Amino acid sequence: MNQRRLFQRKIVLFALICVLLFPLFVLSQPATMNSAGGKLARLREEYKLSEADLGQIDPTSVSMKLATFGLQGAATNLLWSRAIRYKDREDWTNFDATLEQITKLQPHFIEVWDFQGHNVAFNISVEFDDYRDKYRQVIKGFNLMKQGIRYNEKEPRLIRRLASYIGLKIGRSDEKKYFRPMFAADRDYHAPPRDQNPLTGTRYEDRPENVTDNWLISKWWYQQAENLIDGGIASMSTMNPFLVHSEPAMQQIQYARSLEQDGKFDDKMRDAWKQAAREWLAYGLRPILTTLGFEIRLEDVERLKKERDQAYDELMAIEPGLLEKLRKQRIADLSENERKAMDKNPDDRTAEETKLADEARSKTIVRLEDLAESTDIKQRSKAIKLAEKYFDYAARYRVASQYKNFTINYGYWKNRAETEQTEQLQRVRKLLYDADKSFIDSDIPTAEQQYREAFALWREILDTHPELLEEETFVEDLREEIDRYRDLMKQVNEDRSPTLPDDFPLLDVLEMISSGRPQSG
Amino acid sequence: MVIEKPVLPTWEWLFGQSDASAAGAFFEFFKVALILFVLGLFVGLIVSVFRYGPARGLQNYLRVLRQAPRDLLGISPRRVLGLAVLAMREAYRRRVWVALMLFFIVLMFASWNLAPNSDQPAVIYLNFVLTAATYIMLPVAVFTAAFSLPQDIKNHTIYTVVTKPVRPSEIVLGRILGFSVVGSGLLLAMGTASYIFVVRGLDHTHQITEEDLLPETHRGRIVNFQGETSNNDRHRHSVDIEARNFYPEFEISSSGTVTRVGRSAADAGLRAGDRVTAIKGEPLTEKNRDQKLRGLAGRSLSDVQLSLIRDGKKIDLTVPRTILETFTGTNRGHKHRIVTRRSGTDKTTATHAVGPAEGMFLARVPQYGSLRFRDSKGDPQDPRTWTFNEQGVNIGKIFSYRSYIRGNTLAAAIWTFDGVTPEKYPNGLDMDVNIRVYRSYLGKIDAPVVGSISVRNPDTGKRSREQIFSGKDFTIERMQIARKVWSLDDELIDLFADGLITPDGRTEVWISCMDPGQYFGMAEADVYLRSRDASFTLNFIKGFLGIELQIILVTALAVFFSTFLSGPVSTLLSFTTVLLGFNKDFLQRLVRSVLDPELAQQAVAYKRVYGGGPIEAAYRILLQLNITSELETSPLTSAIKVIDVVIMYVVENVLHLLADFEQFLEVQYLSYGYDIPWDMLIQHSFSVISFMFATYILGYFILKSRELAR
Repeated sequence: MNQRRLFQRKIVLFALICVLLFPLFVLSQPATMNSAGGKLARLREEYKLSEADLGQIDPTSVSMKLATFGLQGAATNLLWSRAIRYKDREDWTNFDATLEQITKLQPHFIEVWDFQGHNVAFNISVEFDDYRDKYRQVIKGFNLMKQGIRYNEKEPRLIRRLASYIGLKIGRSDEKKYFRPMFAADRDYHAPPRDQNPLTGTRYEDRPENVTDNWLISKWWYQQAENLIDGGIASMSTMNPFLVHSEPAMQQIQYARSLEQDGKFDDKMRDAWKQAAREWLAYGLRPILTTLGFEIRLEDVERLKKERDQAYDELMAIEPGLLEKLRKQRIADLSENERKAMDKNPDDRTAEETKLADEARSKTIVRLEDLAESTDIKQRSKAIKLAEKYFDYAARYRVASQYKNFTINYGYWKNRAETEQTEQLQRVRKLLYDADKSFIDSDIPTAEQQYREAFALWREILDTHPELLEEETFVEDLREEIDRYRDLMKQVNEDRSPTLPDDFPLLDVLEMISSGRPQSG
Repeated sequence: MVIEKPVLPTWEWLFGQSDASAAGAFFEFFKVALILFVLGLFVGLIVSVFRYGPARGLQNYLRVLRQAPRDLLGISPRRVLGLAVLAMREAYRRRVWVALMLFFIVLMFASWNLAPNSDQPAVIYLNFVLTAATYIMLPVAVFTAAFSLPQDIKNHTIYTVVTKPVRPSEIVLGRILGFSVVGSGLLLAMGTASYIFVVRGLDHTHQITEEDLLPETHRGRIVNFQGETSNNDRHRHSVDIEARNFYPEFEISSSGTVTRVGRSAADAGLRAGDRVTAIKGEPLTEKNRDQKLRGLAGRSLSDVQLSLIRDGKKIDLTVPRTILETFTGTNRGHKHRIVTRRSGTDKTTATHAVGPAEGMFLARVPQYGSLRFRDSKGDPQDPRTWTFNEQGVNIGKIFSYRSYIRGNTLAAAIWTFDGVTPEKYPNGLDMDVNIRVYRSYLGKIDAPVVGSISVRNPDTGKRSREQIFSGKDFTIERMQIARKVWSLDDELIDLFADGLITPDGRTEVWISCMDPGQYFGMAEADVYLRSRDASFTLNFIKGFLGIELQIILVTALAVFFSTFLSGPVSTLLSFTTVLLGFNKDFLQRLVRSVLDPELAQQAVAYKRVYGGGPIEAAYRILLQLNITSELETSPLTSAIKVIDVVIMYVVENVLHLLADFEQFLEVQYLSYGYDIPWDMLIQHSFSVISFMFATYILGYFILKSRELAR
């Protein structure tokens, strides 16, 4: 009896297992060459979440994840706090090893790579005193990000971060004077052996080896991110499309600027500026899809404004005086109290009257659609179309000018890229560079002479391009140059004061700076 | 390496320091043993009375007490050995060797991804093998030891043993020994495999070709060749070859006899056995030997004239300089020897042979001193105005292990060393200096912050002139204060003979920072004398001995728990003990933070614990409160705090009984390249033996009380 019941139970359990296996099969059948697989496999495919879709597959990483029995989140947390402790204790060896483990456990968690890449390149590098040690840490941070890209090939956010770090850390840090040439000469970074290259086997494997300037490499990475989005492989997600598309050209500008700062005044630099101007213009002409659903070009801003105004004028021309007529009628429709409140001097109004007056004013505003609706029946459909056209252009113009003037500062950089190519400005830059150098070498008379010439030339340029002064960045740069000249004057003036000579040609710029704001256009 | 608790000499550790500030471990042991003894007597009586009633209970109790001395002391080595062999057989039956397989598999795949870009690959490799061995062996020890007795009892197989004339004490001891021996065997295999893995895994060399080196000229003549080696194992080394450092290719003994002759020298006619009498026409004597031999150096392929005596005849020869020996720059904690040869026929090419990595596996033997700081204020000329502190300045780091001294002020870090003798330091004080540099302003980026170092006699105050050095952080810099140093009166004086070191071998080393506004940071263990290095292989063995001690400790604990608990429960308890033991320091700080919050908050920042006891922590988690924010006062929070205090009081007392696994720092010493002090191993052995002793006695009584054995 007992034996039999046991046997029966076993049969029942076995049958249950078989039944349960079926939904399991439907859910999690892996995809093969011939079939799309179960529900989970298809979902993975749809959202591009399978390992192979995300990037390279690493057996170590996969086995480490399996070894944690699904507790990789907890393990990562533990390791993360351990990494913080190692960092506090300045134990870089164990810190590196811990990072390696974290990234192996969570290879598709972008923030891990981004945060730790930044941590190493920016925070840990500065703990070292020797700039060569700092550089080594910076490169370690970059390589960490590259490993992240290996696992997440199609992730433009990570690529853009790497691009930005390469540009900023090498080209803008205090040590840039040393970092830039070290980076350019770092053959292990630019042309690593295949087995040491984290990007081997990825789409980024074949970066041109002869490009070694940090800004150009930064540009190359930005272009890769842009390509991913343009090619439909990745989505724009929450990134600002205007920034995404501006950055490659912006890095070209930075490249040209840094050549200038390095004192390389030759054809290469002029070509760099020319290229920058071309790319910047191409960016301005590129139609970019905004989050509002329409495309705009930054170069189109003026045209949009014109179109908007034209639509307005045409609408007004259909029935001249209608707007005024409608407004008067609305005033007439106001109640006695409202009219009284409106007529009263705003300073003498009581709180209630102010409220009444505000309400009254909003009642008397004639909107363009109301105007169109009120036009003569024969012209009405035309008027409505014109009103719609006006609103459409007005919206486009508002967004475009917002991006152009505030987000991107398009006009300034366009202007800058064009003027920097000119013989005149090149000469100013060279004179200032030489003057700084002479000053450092304690050749005061030569330095003074060179500064004088440079500022006189500046005067001429500013007379031809007064719009340059509308830019804060530009004025800031100019102020730094003037400050250095003041430092020099301390040694020239007998009373050791930083007073500038009376005939200093940029006194108006100085006034503007002391008033605290650039000239408004 | 960070050393927060210095290793005391064993004698002091056992019997307390001479100033009696802390009682020695020996007295501590007796104190605990006495308490346990009294407690054991009492608990045993209670248990016995409860189990058998007052009369029989007392009778049994007294019987056990009567038998105990005979059972505990009268153990037979033969029987213990027999039982140990049984335990070993059992362990083998339970396939403990699977652990070994697991370790080998881990090793096989480890080198693929062992922090390939680390600056200290040796540290990572050693850390890895040692940690892997520990983490694999500890569970193995727990499982084999914890399940053995309970399973024997459950299967009644224990009766095959207890029916024989065996004492319960022997059962306990036999098992502890047996399982320990099995663990040691496994560890031996793991250690051997690890050694091969580490040494072979990091073995590499580089190549240097002529294209890698660029000549540097001065006034039209090449002075040196600079460049880098090839990229192997993900790194390169800098190379700097001095053009005027080539030698003729032969070796010479102290008596001036040529012992080995290279090809170019042989072609020039030099033979082994020739005796060199003069170099460049100047006679070679005992006194000027070193100086004259240095004169052999010169530009490559230039000739040097030698006068020789061969078979009693005088010969003059001209030998070309063709060989140069130097080192690459240090990278990733090691360097390589370079031997450069220029052939006589083709003057443009040279061959560079690069040797294996050197300095990767070290066992430095440091002689630590005690550190104090001189304050930055006071009159430099008047020592009476100086003040000395235990600590320097904190520059705002959470990890306040190191403290800082400000540059261009009176501030200095002073190490006092004992036992400095001319026999130990015949060439002067060899030191390792590992300081931190902190810049309060950027200064010149390409110029290091500069410091000074000098020696001073602590009794007479006589001091040497300061030597200047460049501060380099995060590296252990070798420095030497030569035997002959300049005195403040600009005389060259001897460290020992001229009173910079006291007759009983004490001296002070002063380090200060010279750049105004910049800082140097240091801790006591950052500067030490280093007269010699120990053998790395021996140190490796010592490291594994440290793990061995931990395995024995865990085995003893697990066997003890298994005398009164079932297999799974004693496993769990053993793991808990190990886990708590590995975090004992943290737990103690946690307990202090709850029992005495005000005092705990006075601790240095990185040692503070926040968030309260377990109930408070759970409460904070539920309410998503920050661990540092103050709890509002309410009856609930007050109740929580009271409960936490009670819990922590219990935890505090339990903690006293826990083995401190954190003290087993052998692994850290070995991986960071420091010789594991024998004192440390001996003290740990004492700890383990006392734990074994305690578990042996307690295990015996418990087993006896279960009446399994008579």
